[in-house]
Amino acid sequence: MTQTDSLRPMVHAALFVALICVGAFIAIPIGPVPIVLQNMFVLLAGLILGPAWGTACVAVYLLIGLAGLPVFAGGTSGIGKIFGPTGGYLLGYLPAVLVTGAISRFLGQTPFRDILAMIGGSIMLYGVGVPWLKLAFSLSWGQALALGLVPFLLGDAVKIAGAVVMARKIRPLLKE
Amino acid sequence: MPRPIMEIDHLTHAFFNGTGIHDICARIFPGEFILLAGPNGSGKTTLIRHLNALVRPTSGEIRLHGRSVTADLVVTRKTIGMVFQDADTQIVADTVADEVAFGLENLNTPRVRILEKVNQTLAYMNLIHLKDRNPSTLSGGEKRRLAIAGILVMDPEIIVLDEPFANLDHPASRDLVEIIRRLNREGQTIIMATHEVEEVITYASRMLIMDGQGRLVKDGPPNNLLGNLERFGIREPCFSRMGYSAPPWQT
Amino acid sequence: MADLTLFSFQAGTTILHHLDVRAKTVLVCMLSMVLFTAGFSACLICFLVVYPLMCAIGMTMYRLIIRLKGFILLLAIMAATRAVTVPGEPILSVSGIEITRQGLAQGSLVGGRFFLVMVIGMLFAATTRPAALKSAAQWFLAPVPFVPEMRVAIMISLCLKFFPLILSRAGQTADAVNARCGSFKKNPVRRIRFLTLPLLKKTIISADHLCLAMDARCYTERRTDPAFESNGRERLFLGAGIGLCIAMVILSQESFWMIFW
Repeated sequence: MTQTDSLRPMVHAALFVALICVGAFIAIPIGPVPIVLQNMFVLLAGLILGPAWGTACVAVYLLIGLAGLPVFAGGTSGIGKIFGPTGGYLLGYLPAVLVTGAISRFLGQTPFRDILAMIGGSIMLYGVGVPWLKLAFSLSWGQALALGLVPFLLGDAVKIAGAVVMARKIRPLLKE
Repeated sequence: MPRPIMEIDHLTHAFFNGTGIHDICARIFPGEFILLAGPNGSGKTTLIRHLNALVRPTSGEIRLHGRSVTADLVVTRKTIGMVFQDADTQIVADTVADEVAFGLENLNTPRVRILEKVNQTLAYMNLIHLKDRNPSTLSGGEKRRLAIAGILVMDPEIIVLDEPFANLDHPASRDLVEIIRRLNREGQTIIMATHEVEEVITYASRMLIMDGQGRLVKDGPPNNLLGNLERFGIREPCFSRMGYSAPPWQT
Repeated sequence: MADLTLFSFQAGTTILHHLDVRAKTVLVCMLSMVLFTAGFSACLICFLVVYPLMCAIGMTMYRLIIRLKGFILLLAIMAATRAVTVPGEPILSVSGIEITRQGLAQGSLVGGRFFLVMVIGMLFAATTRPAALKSAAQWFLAPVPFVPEMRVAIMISLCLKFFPLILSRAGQTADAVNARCGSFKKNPVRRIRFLTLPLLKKTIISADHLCLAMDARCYTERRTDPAFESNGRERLFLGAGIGLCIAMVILSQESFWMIFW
């Protein structure tokens, strides 16, 4: 089974690339802003695949989006999107998945630590996304935070809670 | 008697929960069309996955032309082409032509040769008009044909099919039977695992029956086993239940 | 249906469809980079070159605007914020907020650039097969150290394969949940769980089967190199593209316009 075993992480990473792509299309209506599951799958990729394969997974996702497949939110793609005003949220996926994966690898896997890891990842995501938004729109810090962070907090809390449940259920499936 | 392609020698694979396959012995000769029958859970899939060393046995051995199948995995897997139960998960590539090329690309075949063989195989399997389509948009029968094309292109000596009729409608099943028959007539050795023997029993040259405990309980020409199938948890073909011999159009 | 949402590729026989994907990639990258520093006249020229190509594949201005409405709104907001924040000579003043000429010019220029880059990207996506994209990714990554290009290519290929599979499974799961009145559950965490967990389980099992299937067909990372389709006009197009880029760079230099003053 040796070869299949070396193949599995790659196939699972590819699966998560596809999930992140699909995440741009699955919207769950809660409150005024529907939440998109995309960044949940990014964080989940970090938790489940670990820092190395998680980063590879997000890198491939960005690459296919850059190459022109419409896999970014709203079915868009291309250089224009990555370097556009909301591009920071896309590039921020890279440090986010890396940090989530690294914290999870370092601390171990309990629900509480999973939450910590994902909060760390989310901080990285907004740490890139918000300043980028600020520059693109030439906003003040207060405005940038009000537009680019606060509206998403509730949805992110829900997503992190969902991801914790899923990580617990999925890990045993991948280990066997 | 010709030399066997494959010898299965006291093969046992025990899972932790006590199921598995036990002490299977069989020899497979060139040109045979073997029906591997048995109820669900009898270990057909487990046995089949040993044939090309996807799974390693607890004890026993399978030899391909006298050498263990685990000795050279690439040769083993090229020689024994496997069509899985779920065509959706077997298909790797994003166009029909690429899917057929996948195996040859893995063997590092030169591109010119790949193109030639892919076209030839697609034409043989009547898929050439779908060449540039995405496999996920094909019908169930077309997907199954594509899965077969994907292994046929590697010139296997044995083609193993796991429940090929699952999720196929009647016309697609008839079509598939025709393809398999044609391959077999042209000398291709076929092993087909199925719990539905009706469609193919009259074309098979030999039938292996496994029981619910993962043992090989019968091995012989299908005609000798007809009438006794229900005992082993396999549905008796209609004609034999009615007490007739095989209908003439099927032979 | 799954096909429509992911693959913006439209089958066709235009000259762009048959151009070697590598040449197209180079052209897109070159134009995009030049555009980021381009001035008004350069953007205009670029648009005049791109527009006939858009028409050739049936992408009219109207359809483009419908398709990109969210992105265009974002660009409009971006242009508007520039218009009011960039200091300069005011042209309009509404309740203390001044719209400046320089601000408006800069805002619309930035918006216009992004729009053009977006259009060029879409033109590329509409005329390039996903499979060709994968080959191009492999070809371009080959000289990059520490990047296993074969693995990247196969991951892209698998992702393209998983995508429709996941979408169809997601549909099935949603139906199964709805059939058991699952949609009445208001709790969003539970909703995420009931929608995505069965989906994830199913797809992971599919992934494991796929591993076996790849193994059964001798999967290795040292595979035959991909083939590229070409129509023999790559040099012409690259030459024209480079010419266009140089023209755009020159037009964007302020000193160029000094000649005419």
